[in-house]
Amino acid sequence: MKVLFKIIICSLLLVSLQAQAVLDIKITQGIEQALPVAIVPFAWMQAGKVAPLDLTEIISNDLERSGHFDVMDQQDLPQQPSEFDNINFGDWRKLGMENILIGKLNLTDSGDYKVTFKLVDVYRGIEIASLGKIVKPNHLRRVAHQISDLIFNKLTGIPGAFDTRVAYITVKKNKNKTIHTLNIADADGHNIKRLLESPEPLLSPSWSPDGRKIAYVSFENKNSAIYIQNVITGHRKRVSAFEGINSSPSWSPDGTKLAMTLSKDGNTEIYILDLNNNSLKRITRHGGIDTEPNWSPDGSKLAFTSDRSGGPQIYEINVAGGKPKRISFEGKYNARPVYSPDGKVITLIHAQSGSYRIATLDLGNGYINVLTDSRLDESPSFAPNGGMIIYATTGVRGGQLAAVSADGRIHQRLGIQEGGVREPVWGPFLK
Amino acid sequence: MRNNWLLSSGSFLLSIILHVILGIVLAFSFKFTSEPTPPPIPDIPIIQATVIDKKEVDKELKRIKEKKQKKIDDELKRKKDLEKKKQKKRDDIKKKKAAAKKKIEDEKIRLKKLEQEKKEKKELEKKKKLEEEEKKKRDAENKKKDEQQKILDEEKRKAKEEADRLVREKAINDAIQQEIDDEIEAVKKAEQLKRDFSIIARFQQRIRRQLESKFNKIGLDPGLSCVILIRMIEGGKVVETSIAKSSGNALFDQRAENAVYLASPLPVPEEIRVFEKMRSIRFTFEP
Repeated sequence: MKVLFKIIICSLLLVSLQAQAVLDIKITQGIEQALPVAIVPFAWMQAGKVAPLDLTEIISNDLERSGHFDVMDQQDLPQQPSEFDNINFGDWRKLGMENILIGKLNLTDSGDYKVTFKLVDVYRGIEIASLGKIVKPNHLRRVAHQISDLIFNKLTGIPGAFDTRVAYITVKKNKNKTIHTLNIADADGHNIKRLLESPEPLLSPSWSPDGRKIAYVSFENKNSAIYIQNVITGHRKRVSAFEGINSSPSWSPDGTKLAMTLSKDGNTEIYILDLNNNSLKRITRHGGIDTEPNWSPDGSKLAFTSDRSGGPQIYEINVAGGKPKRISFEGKYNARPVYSPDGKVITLIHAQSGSYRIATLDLGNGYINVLTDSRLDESPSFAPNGGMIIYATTGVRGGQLAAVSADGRIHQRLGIQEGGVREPVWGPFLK
Repeated sequence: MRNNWLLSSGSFLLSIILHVILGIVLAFSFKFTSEPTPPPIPDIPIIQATVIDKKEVDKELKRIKEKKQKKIDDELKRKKDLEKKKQKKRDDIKKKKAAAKKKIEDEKIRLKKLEQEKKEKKELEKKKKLEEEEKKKRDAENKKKDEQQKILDEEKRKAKEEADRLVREKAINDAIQQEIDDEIEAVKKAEQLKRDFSIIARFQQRIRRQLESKFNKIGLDPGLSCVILIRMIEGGKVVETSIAKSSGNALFDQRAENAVYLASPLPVPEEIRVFEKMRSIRFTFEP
């Protein structure tokens, strides 16, 4: 009876709602503002012991750095709940806070850490995501990045790329010696690992699709050669050391081949090296310079730079062979093409009134969209989520890492604050 | 001849005498009396006085006698005729006289009657006059009375009329007032409606701006749109939202809905009546 009554009331309300004139308002504008989010400090459950690291700070930095989020300052938090039931939604709503993260960190008997957290939608009063994970102490930082990824994904719809790594070269002058170093680091700049140091130049690092290996060019033998190095074991292998130029290695999406630039046949041409059988296949044949190949995500094509038209422009060529097709037409200088993860866009260096800037080339319409306004930018590459492009820019301390959103609207700081940084390349999602 | 003449002259004379006498008598009788007079008795003794030759005389006498008789007869006849005539004349005269008399009588009667009439008339007139005067007086009085009555009536009438007029006027005024009121009401309503609309339009813009300042499309794919229905309570607090048409992208819908939450309370007019008209809003997000 009560239920029936409720149903009647509800339907009456519904009818009244429908019967009433409804005002129409069109929202055609919006803002593009960092999303407000609050990361409540994880509750550390072991009194008397100090938490191994500040998860809250890692996550907050990740989100802030992305440019997508505006993380609430800790002193502004109206409360610091660690349980869903303790959340006072009214307080958060008053502050216009849309989402909050609450969590707990426990030390297990085995010495591992148990991380639990909930991402809460304040206005709807619901959990968006929650997770409980037991990890080794040295994986805590990664867990923090994974939480950042989850938040990023849930609130922006884009997969996060915090739990990724970046490879880059640093060049440092030490007294009269120049040291070239190949480094990898977490995307937030922490966990820097020196993979190789060399008095001779190191160039063009390229991540294998599984993120375990890096191919690069080393001049350690006075001549250029291409090496592949396992980032975990440090084991390295020379895969190409032909006479002349050996440069610009690029992994095929399936990880079985390496596209590269060789001049062994007299001219600078594009080749594909099969890593399984070491067979080499020449792709281009032209009197001009063909270089900087990059594999399309579907593995069917290579984009490369060629000066066959007079100045450097971007071309595409089918890996099975055929005639290359010019795809860049705007400007006199377009070079160093790298496909976006979805294969729809190519990022490149675009020269504009004497400056070299990061731009994107829309493969659909051929338009070039310049993303940066610095004087000398180089080596762009997409984050695996396609949202950001990492590049090196020449600043006061020499080369520095920078990132820009693929649409150019968000310029991101990167945690790597080393100077002399060159040729950064964003690694794939970690499996 | 002479005898004859004599005789004749004697008889003639006699007859003349007789005639004269008769005439005189007649004349007198005629003249002085209008009474019918009996025929005059013949004067025989005068004739006896003259006798001549008996035989002859007798003869003659007889002839004469006869003649005389005849004459007498003629005379008688004539007399008779005359008498008749006279009688007739007399009768006529009598008749005439009678007629005249009658006429006179009539006249007299007429005159008398006239006199009477006149008198009566006079009397009547007098009476009439009197009556008239009286009537006049009465009339005057009546008139006066009437007039007073009239005045009274008039006053009454006027009062009534005035009252009626007032009533009518009041009715008319009321009607007019009603009409005016109605019109004013209608105009007011129209004005109010207009005003309401402009108020709503103003708040519509404010709400739009407020929402647009809260609708964060960072990272959202372009080309999406969704429709969100909301209901407010007084003061503009949003108490009910529903996604009427999804964009197909949960995040887009969520951001749109969040814009509503963040913008709540929405700017709404204080006047409840106006607010009621915009209590429900359909937001179409199509950045």
